[in-house]
Order: sequence, then structure tokens, then C-alpha cells
Amino acid sequence: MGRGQSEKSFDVKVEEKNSVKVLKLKGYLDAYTSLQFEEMMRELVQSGNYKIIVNMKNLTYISSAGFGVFMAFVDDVRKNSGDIRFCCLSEKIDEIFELLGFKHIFKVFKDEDSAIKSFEEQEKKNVRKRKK
Amino acid sequence: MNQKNYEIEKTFSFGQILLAFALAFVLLAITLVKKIFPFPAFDFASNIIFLALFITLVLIVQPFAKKFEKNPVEGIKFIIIFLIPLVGFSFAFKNFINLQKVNDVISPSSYADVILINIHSLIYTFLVSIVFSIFLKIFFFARGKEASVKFTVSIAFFVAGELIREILEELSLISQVILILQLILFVWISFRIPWVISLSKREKYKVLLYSFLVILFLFLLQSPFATGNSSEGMRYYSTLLFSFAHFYLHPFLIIYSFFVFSSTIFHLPTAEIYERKVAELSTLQNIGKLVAQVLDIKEFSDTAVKIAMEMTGSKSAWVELKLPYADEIYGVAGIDEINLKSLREEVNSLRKNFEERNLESRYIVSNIKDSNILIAPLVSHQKISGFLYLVKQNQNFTSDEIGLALALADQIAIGVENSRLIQESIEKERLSREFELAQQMQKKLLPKVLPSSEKFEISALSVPAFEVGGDYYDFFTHDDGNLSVIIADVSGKGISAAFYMAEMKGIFQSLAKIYPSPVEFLIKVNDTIFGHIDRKFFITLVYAYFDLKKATVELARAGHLPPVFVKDGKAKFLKSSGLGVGLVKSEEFGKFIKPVKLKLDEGDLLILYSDGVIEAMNELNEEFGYKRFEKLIEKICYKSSDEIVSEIFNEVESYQKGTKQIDDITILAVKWKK
Repeated sequence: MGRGQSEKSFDVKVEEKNSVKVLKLKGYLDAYTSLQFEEMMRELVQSGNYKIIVNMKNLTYISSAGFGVFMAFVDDVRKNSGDIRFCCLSEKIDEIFELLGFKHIFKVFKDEDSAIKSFEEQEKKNVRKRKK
Repeated sequence: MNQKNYEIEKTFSFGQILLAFALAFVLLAITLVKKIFPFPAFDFASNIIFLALFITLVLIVQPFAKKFEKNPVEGIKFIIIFLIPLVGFSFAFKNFINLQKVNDVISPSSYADVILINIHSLIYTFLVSIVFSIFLKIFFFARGKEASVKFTVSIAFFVAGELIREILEELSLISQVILILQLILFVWISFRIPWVISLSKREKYKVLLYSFLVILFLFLLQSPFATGNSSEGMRYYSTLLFSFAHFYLHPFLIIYSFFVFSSTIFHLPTAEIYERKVAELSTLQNIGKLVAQVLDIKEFSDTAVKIAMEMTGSKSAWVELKLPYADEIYGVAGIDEINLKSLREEVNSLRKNFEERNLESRYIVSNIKDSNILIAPLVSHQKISGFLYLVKQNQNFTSDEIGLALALADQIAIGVENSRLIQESIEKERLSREFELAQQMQKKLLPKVLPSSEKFEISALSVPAFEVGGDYYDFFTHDDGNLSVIIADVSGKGISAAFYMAEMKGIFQSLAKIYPSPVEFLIKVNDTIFGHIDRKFFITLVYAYFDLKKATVELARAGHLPPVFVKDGKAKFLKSSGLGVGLVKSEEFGKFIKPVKLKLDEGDLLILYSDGVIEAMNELNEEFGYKRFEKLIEKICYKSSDEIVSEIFNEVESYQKGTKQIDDITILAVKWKK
């Protein structure tokens, strides 16, 4: 439908780094592929993964339905002292983040390492708080 | 055969019966005359009449004999049934018929004997014609032209032999040679009996018994001890009958039956294998039918697994199907859940072999604990769609069983593929209907009449994509003539998008009236929506409020694409801060909204649009983009709002020519006149 099948494909690779799940998105995240992605996210969150980094380096397109997937789980993960954070946005996707105001809702990082570090620092703060 | 033909045949056979009786009476007359005047000419005449009688009788019994055309086992059985009276009558008449021998010529003692001979011979001829007809059906069963050629040769040889015997008269040496040659001919003819191989074991035992009895009865008929005077009487009746029975039919049948008997014994051990192959074939055929009929994967797998278990003699079995998110287990039989779980864990590593070794390895048999487990991949379109598992305890899988399991696995794979394709097409059909409905809804939600005023001109256009994207625009004219304009895009597609559009229309029409100021309006909209619709849905929009008296426009952007404002031929994207509606709580939402207020002069132009414009793609997968859009607007901004809207649309459409429009395209232009 519309674009050729090869262009429309979407793929996610999940890696775990320092107890943070890094999702590497690839291809088109539109109204259709977002259904598949939502299912994956649900499994991830339901099995107790609350610290999630979404690497958008290879994502070529994201529709509002794609953003909707993150909205659907952000409350859940934050309740469990986790978060969804983004990194490696392409210029185009950065622009969409900007327009939608997503940068007001989510933390966006330049690269994966700094995104992972942000979780580590948050963890340290929490430990200190608890000690106090 | 239709009714008419059938009737004709009936009357025809009635005529034949009459003819047979007439011929029998003629024979009776001839034999009686022969008693008084024993001329050889009468012998010849009686042979001719007998031949006619025999042929007529054979024709009469054809419909009956036809029943055994494809059923040789039943055929032999009926040959025995008719041989029993044949032997019985011969034995009985042997004692009734009295013969005398005068000058080496045997003839009946009295006229009563002539009549007895006639009765016996007529019955004999009738029974022999039945036996002969049935025998021919058996003989020709599953044999080609070669058999009919051989048969014709044997008949020709018999006729030739008879003639030689007749002409040379009682030259015993030659007649012995002819007889021996005839027997050799029968052996040659009877050598191949194709129908024996395909019989079941039970049938083979039957055939052994029947063929043995046939041989026994025929030997009795051949021996003078059993028949004696009755067969001698036959010779008086017609030498041809005697010769045909004793030199042709009886030896032929004996030899044929002997071959049937011996080849049945020879093929007896293969009966079981043959039966099994037939059963396997019919099972696969049934599965094939099942594949075509049952669309539910679960129901289909249940049946297939049961059949697989039966055919391979397995203790337990199940099917595992690879689905997009998880593996699904179907048709579990002969194993409880706990054992299934532990076995599955054990075989998990084995399954990888299929992925690594490609599809070349068609199956794996592995020994786990005390059971053998056979894993057969379900392969369709070069892809493994799942696995069939069969488990046997303390028993090995034979190569036959493995072959069968693989065949079944293939069938299951086809069934799974079929059902998937059908589900897909049903889903597609459902979606296309849903989209059609959504398109109609969207059309009805958009305003039909545009507001008009001497202060401004306004134009709008929305072309929905096939998969309705959720673009929405609307106007509200306030009591003082001021104008509220909105353009919105709800997330998602299809029916759900259309549903939120409808909701948005209600919200806009009621809230714009009470809260004309953009910031207030947006916060109220967010209030209404946040927490009340599915968390993953949100709406982006631009709201503009035109004050006609002050000649100003105040607008705010909630995550939507920045509107374009053109002043003095210079276009500018108004990227004011603002979040999509429905994303966060209103307290937060309000913090980010920054409205823009602009003074309007004659010729100023405001263009609102949806992402279908910017994201339109050409064949090279390049977006239409902001730059192109800006340039285009600057080029045509002096035209009327109608022209501007239609030219933007035409430009976008020609840009994405050759590709399908994937998103709604909505363009709205307001041009200030005074």
C-alpha cells in the first residue's frame, strides 16, 4: 500500500546495556507498523523493563501513531521510576519532535552513551536520596 | 445406460432365449434322427447347431457376467458356484444314461437315453457358457491388447486342432501333440495375472481357496470316473461340445487357476505392505481434502496430528506454529502439559538445526530419555512455518513412518498457509470497507459552506487518502462577525481517526464560541481531551482567531505544522511553541503554548495545511518539503485564495505522481482584502 514493501518495513532490535533496554528502530514507524511495535513495547514493559532508550538513528519515518506508542507506555514506566528516552534523532525526526512538542515530554540525547549515562546518574541520585 | 437402451437389450435377450430354445429343439431332433440313421453328416449338422446354441447362450449370460468385470475374486467364487452343479449333474446323469458300443461307435441305448443326453448336455452347455463368460471377464481384467491377441490365438489353435482331428480321424499321436501344444499355449497365456498383487490379505486367502477348488472340480469333470457316460453322451450330442469342454475350457481353466494359485502364494507376504501403502495414500488424500475444507488452523491441526499419530504409531504428538510474536502449540495429543513443557525445552536446541542447515535437513530424530522424538518442519514457500512433533516410547521410527510424517507435515504446512492467506484477505476486505466508511464520515464532518465576508476571502480543500488520515478543518463565525478557523490532525487512521475527528468537531463548535482566544481555547480543548481518550491518541492543531474590526489575527499552534504567513510576497513559517493536544495535563500544556498575534494588511495571506503536503513523496522517495512549499507560495501568493489552494494541491499532486497518496492533503488559505 503506498510505498513499496521494502521501504515500508519496520524492524526493532533490542539490546541490553547496564540494565537499560536499548531499542534500535529501523525503517518506517507508521499506523501499521506501530501496531507491531506497540505489541513489542507491551511485552517489554509488562516483563518489568522500565528503563528504555529508543535509538532512532535508522528510523526514516515516524507518524503520529508511532508517537502514540510511546505515549501509551510513558506513564507506566515513569510510575515504576523508569523512563523512555530518545537518542540519535535524524534532522527530520528532530524537527517533528520539535513541532509536536515531544521534547517537552521526553528527554532526547545526541548519542546512546549519554542516554545510558543519564539513567545511571538518575540511579545514583536515587541511592543518595534513599541514604539521606 | 439410459432407459431406452436398457429396454432394447431386454427384448433382445428375450429373442435370444427363444432362439436358444429353438436351437435346442433342433439339436434334439437331429440327435433323435442320428439314432436311426447314424450318418456323419448329422454329426456335422449337430456341431454347427451346437455352435450357434453356445454363442447364443454366451450372449444371453453377458449381462450377468459383466458384474465380474472388475471383480476377479467374486468371479472365481461364482465359477465355483456354477462348477458344483456341473459336477453334480454329470455325476448324476452318468448313472441314468445307458450307452451301447457297436463297431467301436458309441451310441445311446434307447430314445429315452437320447432325451436324457439332450437334457444333460443342454444344462452342461448352459453352465459352461456362464463359466466361460465369467472366466473371460477375469482373464481380461487389468490386461491390455496382448491378452485378447493371445486369446484369439488359443481359439484359432483349438478350431484348427478340431478340424485336423476331424479330417485325420482318430490319429491319436497327432491329437496328443495338438493337445500338448494347446496346453503349452494355455501356460503362455496364463503366465501373467496382474490383479493378484493388489489384493488384500483376506482376499488373497479367498483366492487361494477358490482357485484350489476350481482345479479340483475341473479334474473331476475331466476324469471319466466322475462323469463317465455323461461325457460320452456329450460326445454323441455334439463332438464340438465334448472337445470344447475337455480340450479347451477345462484345461485352460485348470492352468489359469494354477497360475492364480501360485502367484497368490508368491504375493502373499507383500499383501500387508500393499494394504498399508493403500491406507497411507487414502489418508494423505483425506488430509488433502481437509486442507481444502478446514480454514481454522486449530481444528485442522487437531485432526492432522491425530492422523499422524495413528499412521506412525506414535504415543504423543503436537504441532508448533511460528506466529509473528510467539510460537503457538496446537493439536496436543497423548501428552500432559507438564511433560509437554519439559520435552519442548529439551528439543528447543534441536530446532535450531533447521535454521542453520537450511531446508536440506528434512527431519530430525532424537533420543530423549527413553523416548524417540521426530521433528518434521512445516515448510511452505521455502520458509519454515512450524514443526510437527511425534514421540514414540522405546520404539524407533521406520523409514516408512518418517516418510509419512514428512508428507503429513507438508500437508499441514499447506493448510496453515491457506488459512493464513484467507485470514489475510478477510482482514484486507474488512479494512477496505472500514476505510470507505471513514472517508464518508470525514466528508460529512468537513464544512460544506465557507464563510464569506468583504474583509477576507477564504478557501479550503481536503483530499482524503484511501486510508483516511484524520485531517479536519472547520470555521466558526462569531456573532460580531469575527472568525475562528481550525485545522487539526488526529493521530491514527481509518475509523478511529474519523471517530476522533467527529469528537474534535463537537469540541471546536462548542468551545470556540465561548473561548475565542487561542490560548484559552487550546487549554480548554486539552482539558476536554486529556485523560478522556486513549492515551496513545493525540491531536495536533492550529487555531486562528480573526478580529475583523482590529484587522488582526491571533493564532496558536498545538504540535501542528507551522502555518505560513505571507506579507509583501515574503512567506514565513510561524513556529510558535506548543504541544499536541492530549499529550500532557493542562497545567503543563498551558506553559508551553505561546500565541502569535499579527496585524493584517491588504493582501496578507495565512495558509494552514496538513502533513500530507510536506510529506508528499515523489518516485525517488524525496519529500515535497518546506523549501519547495515556501517557494511555491511566494510565487503564487498574489492570486486569489481559491487559485492558491488549488495550485498548491495540483503542484503536490503532480509531485507525487506515480506514487499513491498516503496521507490526507488539506490546505486552507485566508486572504485579507481590506
